[in-house]
Amino acid sequence: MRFLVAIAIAGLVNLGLFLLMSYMIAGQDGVRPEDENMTMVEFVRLKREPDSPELKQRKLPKKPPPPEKLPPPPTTMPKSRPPQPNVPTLPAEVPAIDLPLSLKGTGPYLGDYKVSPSAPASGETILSAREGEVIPLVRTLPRYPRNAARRRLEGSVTIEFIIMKDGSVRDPKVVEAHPPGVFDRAALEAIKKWKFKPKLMEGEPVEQRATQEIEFNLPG
Amino acid sequence: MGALTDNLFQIELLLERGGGVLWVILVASVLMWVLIIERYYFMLVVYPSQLQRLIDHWQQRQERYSWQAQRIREGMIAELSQNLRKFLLPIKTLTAVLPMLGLLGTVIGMIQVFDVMTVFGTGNVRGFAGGISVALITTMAGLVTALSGLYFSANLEHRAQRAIQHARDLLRRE
Repeated sequence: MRFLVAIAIAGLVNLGLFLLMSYMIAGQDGVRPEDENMTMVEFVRLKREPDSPELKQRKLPKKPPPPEKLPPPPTTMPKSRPPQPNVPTLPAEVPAIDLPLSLKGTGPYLGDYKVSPSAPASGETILSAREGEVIPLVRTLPRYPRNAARRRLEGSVTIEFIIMKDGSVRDPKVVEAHPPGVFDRAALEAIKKWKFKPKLMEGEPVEQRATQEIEFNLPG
Repeated sequence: MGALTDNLFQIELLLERGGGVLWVILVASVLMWVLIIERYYFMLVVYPSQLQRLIDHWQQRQERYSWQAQRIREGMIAELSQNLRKFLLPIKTLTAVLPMLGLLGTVIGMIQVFDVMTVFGTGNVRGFAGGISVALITTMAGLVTALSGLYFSANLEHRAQRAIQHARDLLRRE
């Protein structure tokens, strides 16, 4: 009997409590017309989606310039040396072009000229050709050695390495360093994180030897 | 009458939104309030007559200072104390459990939200609404019901303690 009364009153109390709660969230019912505005937001999204591909299309042509622009701002310049294994292949093509042009007048001289100019010419052409090809895509700044920073030392390190087919760097070696031994480790660590555009030979990526000079300049 | 059905409809809507955990909270809350009201009924209506009966019984004794008399008195007080404290622990437990049930509802609601997110991604804001309303409504229900019971639970405890002390004094004096 006692419990029956209690249950009745408890039911009323909870009715009141839940009614209170339903009124507390009644604001959400009022929002319903604004829910219709939510669809408006979806429409805006649909409009945005066509916009963003357009932006991407504009970006695509822009992408080629950045790699060209990127090299200048950092003081490091890509340099490459003619790798010995590659030399025989390229000079074989170069003289083939040069021969018919210069052949017209004199036959016997050509034999002599062919040998001597080919060496310097090949060096230059390959250098220029390589400079175009060795394009760093990802460059990480080397950590400035604390010791050198404290002594206000500046310098440069030339590194020889192999660009693998996927553009990453393998077997970096220090070729030149001014001053020697100070920046070597930082430069080697940095170059390992670089990514280059792999050289394409007949449409397929090939491993390539390259050199890169990294300069260490103190800011300010 | 129209207002009542309207209110009932509101509550039904609330329960529908809150999901299963809200029903559990409702049941727990009703149970807690049944116990609270029963306790108040007992303390205000039943207990005074019980106390009176025991006092009469005590006063009928010829001697009240012997060892046996003291044991009987202790027994009376213990009986009263047991009656007074009968449902206090369940009430306290329920007030502690209700917010946790609310938290459980929160977690379940958030799981629903993440389920929606895995299927539709973050774009479907409407899909989240169900889970979020479960989470928030159950949390609120747990807190509101627990808060409603908290004062009465403390008050009942206090009343029981005072009543026992009072009974002890009454029985000693005679």
